[in-house]
Amino acid sequence: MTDKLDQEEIEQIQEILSGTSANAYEVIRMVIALERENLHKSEALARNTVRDEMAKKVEGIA
Amino acid sequence: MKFISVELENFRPYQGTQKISFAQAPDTNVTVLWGTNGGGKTTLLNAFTWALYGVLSSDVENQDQLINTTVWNNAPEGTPLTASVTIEFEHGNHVYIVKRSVYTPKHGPFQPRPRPELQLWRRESGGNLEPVLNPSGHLDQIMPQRLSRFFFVNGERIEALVKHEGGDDVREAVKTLLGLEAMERAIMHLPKVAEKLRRGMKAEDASQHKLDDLLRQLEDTERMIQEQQRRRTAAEKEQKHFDAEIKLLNLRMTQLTEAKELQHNRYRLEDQLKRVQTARQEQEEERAKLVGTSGFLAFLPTLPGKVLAACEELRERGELPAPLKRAFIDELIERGECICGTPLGEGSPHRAALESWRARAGLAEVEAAWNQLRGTVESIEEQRVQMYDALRGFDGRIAEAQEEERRLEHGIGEIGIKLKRLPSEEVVETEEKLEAAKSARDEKVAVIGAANAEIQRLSDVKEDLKKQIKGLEVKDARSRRIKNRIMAIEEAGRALTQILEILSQGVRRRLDARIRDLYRLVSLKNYEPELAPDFDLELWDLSGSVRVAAPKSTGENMLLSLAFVGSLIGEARESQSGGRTFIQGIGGDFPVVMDAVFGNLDDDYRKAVADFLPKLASQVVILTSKAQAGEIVEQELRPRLGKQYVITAHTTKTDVSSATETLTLNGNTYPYQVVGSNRTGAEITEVRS
Repeated sequence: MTDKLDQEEIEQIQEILSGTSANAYEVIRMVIALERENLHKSEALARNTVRDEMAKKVEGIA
Repeated sequence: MKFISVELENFRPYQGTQKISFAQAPDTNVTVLWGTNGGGKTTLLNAFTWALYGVLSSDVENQDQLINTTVWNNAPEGTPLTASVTIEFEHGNHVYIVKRSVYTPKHGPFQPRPRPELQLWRRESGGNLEPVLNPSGHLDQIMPQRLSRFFFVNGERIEALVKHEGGDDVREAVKTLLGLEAMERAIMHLPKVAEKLRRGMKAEDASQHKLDDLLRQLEDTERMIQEQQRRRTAAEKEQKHFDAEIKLLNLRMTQLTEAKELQHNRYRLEDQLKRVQTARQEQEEERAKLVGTSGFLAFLPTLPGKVLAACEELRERGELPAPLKRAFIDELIERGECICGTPLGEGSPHRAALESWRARAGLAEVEAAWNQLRGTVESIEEQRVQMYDALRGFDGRIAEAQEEERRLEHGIGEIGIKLKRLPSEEVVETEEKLEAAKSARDEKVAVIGAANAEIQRLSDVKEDLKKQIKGLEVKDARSRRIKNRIMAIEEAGRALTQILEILSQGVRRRLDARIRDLYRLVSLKNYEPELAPDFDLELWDLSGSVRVAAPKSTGENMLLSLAFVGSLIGEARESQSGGRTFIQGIGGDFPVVMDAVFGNLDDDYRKAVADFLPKLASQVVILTSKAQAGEIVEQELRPRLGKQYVITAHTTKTDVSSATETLTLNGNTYPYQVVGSNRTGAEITEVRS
């Protein structure tokens, strides 16, 4: 069931993502994957892990 | 996900190995387990959550005593003993077997703290079982623990969902269902990443001290923002609490005969006041928009006249519009002959004269611009007049609305005074409590407002500090790269914040529509549910001219809570087929296991709930006592029954009054309560069809 509002929702998200720079898009992709891996951890533990891991992962961005 | 079977081995009251196979056919999707109060139903509900997540609900006593006590007590010292729960289920075209077990040799009368072991296997196409690594993580992905309370339902607690504290549970469930937790955490954690990176930046020598200072200020500001956010969250919670209290007290007032009419009048006036306030705010927004787009006209009272006078002067001097067009001269030169027939040969004086004129001739574009300018300038005065008229219109309507608001507020205040003058002590007491709650709520609203303003101010300070850091000349290529990374992180954070809001409100809207549809199917009243923007489950009475909060009876609360569970299951099913792939949420079909859903309900609500349950999910397991369910439930469920079991409760006690010794189902009789048995515990028997 994809009604008109669902479609609008998808379009709005697509618009946000298409207006995002390649570097920021890459950050979004990396951080969501990392957060998902750490969901089972407490928020404080996940925060430290994500902060340290992301700081390394973004080194690919020039 | 569909349950195939559950097997209990020496698990709490269940001695030996006992197995239940669940109904799975779409038309007969209900499995009922009949058990007396205290006979092992809630343990069975807990067996599911223990096997999947290792948790027992807080009302389970002696949580360490997992091994059946009869087995434990009768075993000789040193005997290795075990208890386990094994669930076989189907999910995403695979069959899984999950087994959680405890193993310990018997030493003394008390069981040691259990150290359960979890195993998960997947049945491969050849039939062999393959162990699954990280079983707990895998299970949490299939059916997250945070959603478990909605799929393993304790009827005595599910009502809490519709109370004001339920909003947080509902919000969390929605986030988990959609996979929004990861996004929400990402939004919280990305600034920490940027902060860490900033600390690695090096500025040019003279700026290094300034950079350090700015970084310190940035961290301080961030801390202050977090403090204000904490303050706001606490105030919001308290505000919700007072809102719920106000709602309850209002409802109570309508139930007091002496106050009923006045209270209804107050509802009407409050509703009108809300509408007038909304309309006034809209007018104020429109007025602000007009000032933003056309406000400049107010500063141009003389400029149009000056521009027109200057242009007129140019026109009178023959400079505007230009007396001669450049395109006309170009054409004559190209033709080589004047319109009077004079040849315009190369180097001729006539041609030279024309070429000197060419430089003074006007361009068509200048002509067009002149005409346009004149049109625009001439209309400015008209626009100014229109803007003033529109502003006067807005001011008038806003003033009228303010006057109306004052009148309504006065009317509402008068009702309060009248209520307090009524002879009924109960009315006076309720009104006083209402006033106190409203005043306390207003205080919280003020705290929230102040916190919001402070957060806004600090956010501006933070942005300014970030700009200053960005503006500093960095020392080396590495620092420049760090700057780029920070920019990408900040951009990602902004995009994720926008996406999270869109997704949250989208799913709220879909769930709201589902809850309304489901509730309409079963409700016995002319009420309408709403999943409000803050994820509170509300129930409205639409019978009068004004929508008012409906009194939430146990029956309506149960139906509303079940409608919410049904909407979650529906959304999970839809999200799998709908291809919402950007954020990986929890998708698929989920069963629901329900304990004590018929307790404390009147017959008409039992009937409604029994009719509703099979529609709730593709597989429904109901744990109930015969006394709670009654004949009505059995009749309603009969067409959808796929499997039935009796949980026989054994007790060594002999002086139990009014025990139901047997249960007759499908024409067969089963032991229900065995009084004076040689053991204490529970035993499961399948009902023959």
